[in-house]
Amino acid sequence: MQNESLLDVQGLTKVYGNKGSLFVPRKEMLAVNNVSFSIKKGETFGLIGESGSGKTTIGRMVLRLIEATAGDIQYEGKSILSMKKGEMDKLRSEMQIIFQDSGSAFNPRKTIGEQILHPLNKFHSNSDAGYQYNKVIEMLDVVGLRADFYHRYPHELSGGQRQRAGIARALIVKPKFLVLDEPVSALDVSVKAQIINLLIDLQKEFQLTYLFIAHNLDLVAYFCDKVAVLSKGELIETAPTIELFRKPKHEVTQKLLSSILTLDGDLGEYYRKQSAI
Amino acid sequence: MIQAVRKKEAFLNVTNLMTKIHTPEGSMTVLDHINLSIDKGDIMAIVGESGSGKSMTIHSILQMITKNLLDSYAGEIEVEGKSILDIGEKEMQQIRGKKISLVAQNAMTSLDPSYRVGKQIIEIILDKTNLSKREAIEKALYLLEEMGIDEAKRVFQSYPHQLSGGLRQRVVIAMSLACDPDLIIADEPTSALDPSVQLQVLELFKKINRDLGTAILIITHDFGVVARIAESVAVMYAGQIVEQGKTSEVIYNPQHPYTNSLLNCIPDLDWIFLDGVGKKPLFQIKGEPPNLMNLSSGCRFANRCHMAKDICRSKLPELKKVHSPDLNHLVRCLLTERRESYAK
Repeated sequence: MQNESLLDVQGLTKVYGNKGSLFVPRKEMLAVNNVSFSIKKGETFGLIGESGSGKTTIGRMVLRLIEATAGDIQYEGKSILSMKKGEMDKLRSEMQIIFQDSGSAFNPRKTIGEQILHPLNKFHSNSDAGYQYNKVIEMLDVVGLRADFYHRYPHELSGGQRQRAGIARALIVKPKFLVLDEPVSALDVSVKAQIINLLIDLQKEFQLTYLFIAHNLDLVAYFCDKVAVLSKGELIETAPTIELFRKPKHEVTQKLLSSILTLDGDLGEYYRKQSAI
Repeated sequence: MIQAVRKKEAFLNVTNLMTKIHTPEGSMTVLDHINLSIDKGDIMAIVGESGSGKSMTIHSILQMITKNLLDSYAGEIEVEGKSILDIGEKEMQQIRGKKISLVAQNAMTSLDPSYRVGKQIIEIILDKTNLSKREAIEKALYLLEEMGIDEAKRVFQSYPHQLSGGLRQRVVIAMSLACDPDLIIADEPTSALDPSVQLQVLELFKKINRDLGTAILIITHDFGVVARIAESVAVMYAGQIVEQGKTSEVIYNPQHPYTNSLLNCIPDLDWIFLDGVGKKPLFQIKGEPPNLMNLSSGCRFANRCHMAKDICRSKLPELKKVHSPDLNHLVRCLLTERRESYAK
C-alpha cells in the first residue's frame, strides 16, 4: 500500500434550491457543508450516516455526476472541478461507480454482455468485435459469472448475480477508483458476504481504491480502513476504523453505532459506558 | 408427524401446509409441509434468503396469492381453531385486518400517494368497525401518538411523500393496528430503513406486543433482527422449514448447517475490541439455492453444505426433535440425526 493520496476533497459544498424570482421566493437547502477528506491509494474509505446526511451526494459529486457548489476535488493532484467536458470524460474511465439497486442500473431490454461492453465502446471505440467479446467474457470470469451470462437479460439474474455484472461493467475500463454506493444494502445476508469478499479480492488483484457508502455498519467495520461520519451534511468525525468503532468521540456517532444489531444483544451499553468515561 | 406442544390460547395453527403455484414450466411446490403455531402474545420470526418461501408462507396464511398464480393449497390453516382454507372471500376479508394484519416491506406501496395519511387510516377504521367518523379520527390520532409520533396532528394532515421513511413505516404500523388485530405479520419491515430507525421500529413492535398483547410474526433475512425481537424462530430454506425452536436455542445451539451458515454471515465485531486481533475472513455461503422445479431426492441444502455426506444427496431428511432443553427444537438434517443416535 502506498502512502500517496489518490483523492483529496477540500471544503466540498452543495446547495440545492431555486434562484428565486419576483413570484417565487428564494429557497435553499444545504445538502453538503464544507466537507474535507482524503483517500490514499489502495485504501477503502467508508462514509456512514443516516439517510439524508449527504453520503450519496458526496459520492456523486466526487465523480461530477452532480456539480459541486463550492470546494475542490483533486484526483492524483489534478483539480477535476475545473476540467472541461472532454478531459473529464477521459478521466471517467478511471473513476467508476457501483449502484445500490442493480435492478434499475441495467437496461431490461439489452443483454448483460452488451451492457458490460458499453463502457468499453465509449472509452476504447477502435477495438474490434472479437477482442471486445473476449474482454467481456474475461470480465465475467473475474467477477465469478459463467460465460453464458453474456446472452442473458437482467431479469434472469438474481440480485447477487446482477451486482456482480455491475462490477464487471465498471471494471472493464480498468478504473483505479470506485465509488461503491450501498452496493450490498438490497441483498440477502449471505449474498452480501459474497459481494464484499469479491470486492476485497478485486482490490488486491487490481490495486483498487474504494469509497464505500453504506449503512450496514458491521460490514463497514469489517471492510474499511478509515471511516468518516456524516450528519446533516457535515463531517463530524473521521478516524481509522478500529479507533472509530472502539472510541467514537461524537455523540451522533455513538448513537449510530449503538444501533448495530448483534447476536449477543446491545452494543449501545458499551458505547454509553464509553461516553461516561 | 410432529405435534407442536400447545399452550392455552393458540391463535394461528398451520399444519402440513403445501402451496403450489403455476409457472410456465408447470406446477411448482413452493411450500413443503410447513408447520407453525402462534399463540396470542407471541413474537415469532421466520428467517431465510430470498426465494426460501418466507413471503409465500404469509401470503398463503392471508390467502393473498392471486388466482391465476395459485395452483392449490393442501394441509390446514386454522385461526382460533377454525379452518380458513375453504371459507369464502367475504369471510376472509373479515379476518384480514381485523384478526391478522400485514405490514409490507415498503411502506410506500401500502400508502396511496394521492391521499392524506389520516384519511387513509380512518378509511380502514370506518370500513372494518362500527365507529362514527369522529371516533375514527380520535382513534387514528391516538394510534399515531402510540407509535411515538410527536406531531400526530401534522402527520395526520400530511401526504405520504412529505414524511421520512421511518415516519412512513410508523404510519403503516399504526394502520395495521386500526382494527385491533390479534396478530400482525410484518414482512421485512425494517430492511429498507437506516440502522437507527430500524432499531426504533423493532422497539415499537416490542412495545405493541407488551402493551396490547398483539402477537407478531416477523419475516426477515437478518438474524440480528431475530435476536433482538423474537422469542421463537423458524429457519426456512427452499420451501421447507429446516430448523425451528426458541430463539436463544437456535442462536446459541444451532443444529442445522444452514442455520449455522446464516449466523456466521453476521460479521463478528469482537476483533475491533481486541486491537484487531482475531479478524476472521467474512463467511459466505457458496452457491445458490436449488431450483424448486428440479429438486434432487436428497437434502435441499446438500449442494451448498460444507458437511454434506453421500447420504445427504440421496435421502431427504425429516424435521425431527433434537436433544435440547427446548422441547420444540426441531431440525431437518440427517447428520444431526446420526450424531444424536450415536450419542444415545
